[in-house]
Amino acid sequence: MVSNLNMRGENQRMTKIPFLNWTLALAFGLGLGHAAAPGKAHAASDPSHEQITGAWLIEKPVFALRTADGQEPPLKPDAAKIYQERQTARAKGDTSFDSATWCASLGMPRMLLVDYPFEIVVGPKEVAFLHQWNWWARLVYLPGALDKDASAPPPPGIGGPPGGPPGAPPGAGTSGEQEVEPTPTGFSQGKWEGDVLVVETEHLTNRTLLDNAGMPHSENLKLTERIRARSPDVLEDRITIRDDETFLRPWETVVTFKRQAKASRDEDVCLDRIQAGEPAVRE
Amino acid sequence: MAIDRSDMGAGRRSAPLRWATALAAVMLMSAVSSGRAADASQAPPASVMDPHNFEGTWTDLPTNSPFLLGIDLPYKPAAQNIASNHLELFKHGHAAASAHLTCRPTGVQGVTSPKGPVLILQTPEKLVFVAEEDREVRKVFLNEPHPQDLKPSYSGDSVAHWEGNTLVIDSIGYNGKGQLDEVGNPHGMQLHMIQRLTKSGNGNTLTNVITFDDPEYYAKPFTKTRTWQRISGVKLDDYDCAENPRSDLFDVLTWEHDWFQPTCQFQVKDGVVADKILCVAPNKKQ
Repeated sequence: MVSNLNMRGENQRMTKIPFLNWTLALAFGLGLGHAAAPGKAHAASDPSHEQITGAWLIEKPVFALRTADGQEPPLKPDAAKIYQERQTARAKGDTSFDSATWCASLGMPRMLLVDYPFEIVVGPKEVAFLHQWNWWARLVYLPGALDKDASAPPPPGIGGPPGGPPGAPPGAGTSGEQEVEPTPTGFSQGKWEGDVLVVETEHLTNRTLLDNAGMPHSENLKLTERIRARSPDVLEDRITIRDDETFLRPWETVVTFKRQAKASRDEDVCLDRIQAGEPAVRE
Repeated sequence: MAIDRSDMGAGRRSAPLRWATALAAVMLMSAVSSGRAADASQAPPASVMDPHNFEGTWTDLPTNSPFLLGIDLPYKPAAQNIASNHLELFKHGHAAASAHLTCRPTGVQGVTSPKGPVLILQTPEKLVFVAEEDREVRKVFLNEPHPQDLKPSYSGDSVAHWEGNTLVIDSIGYNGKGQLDEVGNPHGMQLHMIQRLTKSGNGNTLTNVITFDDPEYYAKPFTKTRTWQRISGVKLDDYDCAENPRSDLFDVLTWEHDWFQPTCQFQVKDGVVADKILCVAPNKKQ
């Protein structure tokens, strides 16, 4: 049992956030100055940033990703072979390659591509994408949101020796930097360019799929999103996908979403849905 | 090389498992922490000093037990039996399967005892609490009533209003599958939870006075106080609880409710994890 208790600490594959990024982020954040007027609960400081707030649903759910001009993504041969094998398996009813089958995270960018709504909440330091599917949230950190030296207390029993007190908190090493391990939603840092939210996401685990069909990716995956309201009721996310292990070259896809009247208050619990015999992910 | 199954295997071993966390916590039985409060060396921004602005990242004080709300609760006999049984299970290294341990929304337990950072976002219409470890997302709607057609849920429905500098959050609409804390002090569908949240003058702590009114399980309402501290600048990690349903991790659970039984599992025999997951349709379960 003890080995399980420290599973996370023993196996995490850490990568460092380049110090330069943090420094720039902090400097940029200080320059912008995010303080709000006292007495007012606030959201975005610039009214144009509010255009993307609200509930959205993809206009055409994506089963298999295509480039912005409708072409097959430039998969390398090994990745193309895996992708084909998965599609063959899926056609036979075998989705064991897809961890969303047992309700693990859809990951990015797939969580944007499925037929489930999400809500965007714009704050002064973070933008939250609150997805209905299994209540996943993706947080985008704006300049000044993070402190490279800050650390959260670890939960009891995590990160320390078996039976002992917790070890040093993440980022408490000699470098003083917060460390990031690959996760389904990765580490997203954003900035505003006028009314466009530009989001860079990396540190994405390779256990997730790029799309429902099963397109693979490596942990080198980096996403650049340019998110804007094309009109009051249409949201556009222009996504550049870079992954030199999986693709021959960077490529771009564009997804659009239709504004929903109101974010649902319903709780979507994937494990309860599959208990009830429903699919984990609607297609 | 892109993803292959060996990569997935490595990932499965590193899954942040909620049930493992819970049992580790029970072994320690007290919340030890090396956390620290916000650095006060710089003048805080106006939003920190604004008593009506709860935005920021917070964490439960390490002196708050995430596992046990109390054993002095005004139990009715059924609740007393459940609580005693759960404590006994934990003492022997077992746990009753709960919403929290089986990767459902944590509900009330995430309000009384978040284990990691909680990010609060605030708009004129609502506050959103995003918790790291329980991956809970709780929306608290300002200045509007509970919906008439409320659908019972793990997290319930929360609305709030300001009374001076205190935010009063009113929560109802629970589905009866949640619990008040990790050990499993129970609550029912009739639970009415009222929180009174007040920020300290220096903006660095949030006092959370929680009153529980649940006539199904408790003889009278009771109140507990929890304090959160600000931890500025901390990134929340993903908590993909359902990622790694290894069969051996379910072995420590007892099943009071069938609805928590896993549908898909990686079978583990002699410490070896099967390559392929086994999913059993609910109607074919034993």
